Amino acid sequence: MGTYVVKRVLQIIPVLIGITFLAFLVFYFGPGDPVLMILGEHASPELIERERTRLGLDQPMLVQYARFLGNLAQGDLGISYRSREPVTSVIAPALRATVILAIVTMLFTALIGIPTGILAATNRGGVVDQVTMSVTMVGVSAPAFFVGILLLLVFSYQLRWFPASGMRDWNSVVLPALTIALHFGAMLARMTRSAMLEVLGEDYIRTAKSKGLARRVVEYKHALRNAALPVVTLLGLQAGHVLGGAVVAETIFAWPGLGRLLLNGIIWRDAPLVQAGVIIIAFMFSVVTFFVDIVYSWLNPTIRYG
Amino acid sequence: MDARTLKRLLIAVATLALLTAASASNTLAVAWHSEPVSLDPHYDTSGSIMPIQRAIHEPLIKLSADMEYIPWLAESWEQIDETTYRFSLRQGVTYHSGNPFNAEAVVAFFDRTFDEADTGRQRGWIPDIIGAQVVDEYTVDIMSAGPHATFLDDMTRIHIHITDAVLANEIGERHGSEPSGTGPYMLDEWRRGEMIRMTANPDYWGGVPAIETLEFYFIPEATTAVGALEVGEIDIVWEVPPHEAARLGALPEIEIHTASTARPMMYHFNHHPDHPLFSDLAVRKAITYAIDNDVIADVILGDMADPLRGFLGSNTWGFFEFDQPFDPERGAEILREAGWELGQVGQYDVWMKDGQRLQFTLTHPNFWPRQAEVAEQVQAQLAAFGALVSINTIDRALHWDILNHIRTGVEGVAAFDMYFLGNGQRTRDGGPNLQDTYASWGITNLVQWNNPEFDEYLSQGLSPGPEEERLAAYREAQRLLHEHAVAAQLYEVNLIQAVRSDVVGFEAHPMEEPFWERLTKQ
Repeated sequence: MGTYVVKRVLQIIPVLIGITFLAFLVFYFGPGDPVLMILGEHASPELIERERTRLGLDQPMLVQYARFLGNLAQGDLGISYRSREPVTSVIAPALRATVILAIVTMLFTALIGIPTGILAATNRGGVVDQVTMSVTMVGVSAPAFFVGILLLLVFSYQLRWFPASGMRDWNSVVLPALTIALHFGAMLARMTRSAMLEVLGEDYIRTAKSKGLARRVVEYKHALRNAALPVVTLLGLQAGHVLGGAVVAETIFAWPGLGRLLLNGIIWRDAPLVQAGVIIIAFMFSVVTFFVDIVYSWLNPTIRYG
Repeated sequence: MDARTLKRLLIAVATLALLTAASASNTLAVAWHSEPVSLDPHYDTSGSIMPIQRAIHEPLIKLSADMEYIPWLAESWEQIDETTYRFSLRQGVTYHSGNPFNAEAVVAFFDRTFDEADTGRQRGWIPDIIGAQVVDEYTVDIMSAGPHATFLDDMTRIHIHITDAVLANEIGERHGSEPSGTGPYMLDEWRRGEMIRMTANPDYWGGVPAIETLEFYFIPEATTAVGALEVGEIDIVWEVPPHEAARLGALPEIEIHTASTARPMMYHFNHHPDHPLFSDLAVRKAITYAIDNDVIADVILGDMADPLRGFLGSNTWGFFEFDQPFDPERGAEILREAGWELGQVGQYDVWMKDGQRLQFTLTHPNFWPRQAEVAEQVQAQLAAFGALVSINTIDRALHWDILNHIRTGVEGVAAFDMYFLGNGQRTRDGGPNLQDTYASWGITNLVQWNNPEFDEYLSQGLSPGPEEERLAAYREAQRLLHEHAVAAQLYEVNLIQAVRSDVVGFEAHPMEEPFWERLTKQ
């Protein structure tokens, strides 16, 4: 297990280097001139040239990339072109907001998805199963902006239970998290149901049942643990998605997360900000997948990686 | 927990609740669609967030809502020669940092603004000003490069604020998040991506503002902002989408304020002499007759716009009506006289001449509100007239790329066919607007229109002199724009703002000059 963990951690490094190169290339070859975005439409051509030189944007591509990597290795993510502050201080609060949103969202997702899926699977073909499967179908299909605005209208404008925007109170996170979690939870419920159904048909479940074990014990201890692999995989992928910025939910509820920050960064061609954001997202995604892999081998000790 | 502790706790909670309620009535929350990147206007002169900067920073002169000069940090001024104005400054004013506001501070501001080694953005808005000189402690001379009729207008621009340059020189770019100005509010907290909180400046020269706490919430989605206004989370929505205005206005607890922003929107032709279609005046003229801007303004934009009747906003000084009527038959007649004939392309009737079709692209940047619907409407009107038109949407970065390519001569004729452009100078005097867009030396002359006669009239209008003469020159300049069909007129933009009725003293302003210190809450 120890060597496996070390190996797995080392694998993250080439992934991150690859990501930095891609993030760099996109801005290098993409349309739009960051210098013009910094200086505005009234800047003189001389000023534009001077700023280009100052930022090193007149250097050959590989020189620019090497310098970018060199700074990165020293933990220097650069200065945002637009706000002229260190990228770290621009990204830190957005990262915090995104992590809070991601944790609450994944909590909601698990609470909605797993019990619903189990309930449906253990009542296969019954009314409960049919109702939950129809409702989750809606949840999977409804777009986030629709669900978000619906939640806003009902719980914020009509019932006034939650604030409409920003991070005003501790409960501000509920509606944006629910917007995403309803979608994710529906997906997860369907995944849990099919994984459970597969396991419930196995011989060892029949054996457990015939041993006279209580139904709950069979369902939760024997079946669920074995059905958990695909469920954990999906949860991991979903967590990665929210951590990468949930632009729609962030926009509707004015949640100050990474998604909106990076979207604005792209519009303004703020290369240092977007590159740093992409690297952070890639890093978080790698960490989440790493933990998913560890959880795998804990759930099913027969899985051992070479 | 015994009964006494419980009682104490309850009292504490009740007191806290009362305190919160009391402070809430003295807090004003404003919803904004975008967020500043820096609270130092040296680095951020985006027009959309200037009213936020104005809570902290102030100019020498402000404009009232009916476009009169109001002495602000300058108490009075006089012109002492062709290129110099002498300003007497308000005394007893200090910056939030404690630095004194005086002639030296003003000079330090202009030095920083015009520092060649620096990339400050404010100087772009006052390109004719060259610097300032101390006369005595509270008197300062400000100089322009040449005779400059819109000198005072330059001082009123919403992009120009006399910031605390002495402090900014000390702390550098940190001034963007720890700004110091002379304004009625001081920065308290800035939660990036979310909100900015300011508190009343206890030493404000105009008296302590009545509203103690001023909060700006950044809410990109208009539905959310409007909803927050309705439930009372927000007191003012700075820009309301037009389709919400009527509904909100009908609510007893909300008032709608509107003002014309003096911003004219047009589809400009590419005036490069080699352009295959638009180098021909007849084609340009015909297209202006084919566009019905009343429909665009009234049906699509509603309260947000009025049809444009000239080449400047109708409330700018120097505006003259030169309307382009909707008359497709007249347009067809002009094309026939020029040798065009209607032919068949698939299912469409399209004008043709010598095998060339009347076919081109409308290019429009995506940062103007509702521009996509406007483009589609124009496309439909032109299709009915007999022009095959496609739409090309570009983002801000590409917009500036095109501008720069034209300026540096890389891409002239190929840059675009027709371009959706709003003149953004925002001055009382329309001259700078005409200059930037149409003068051969105009810094945002995307249009590539080059007409020596126009340049001559415009220069006369921009030179100091009797007002009647300047107006006559402006009129001639605009007559030429009309004669040469430099653009197809669309609309002038109105600002629609929604305010809760318990906010007193609010007034919509054509230049979005905010006057935060005048607001109170009942």
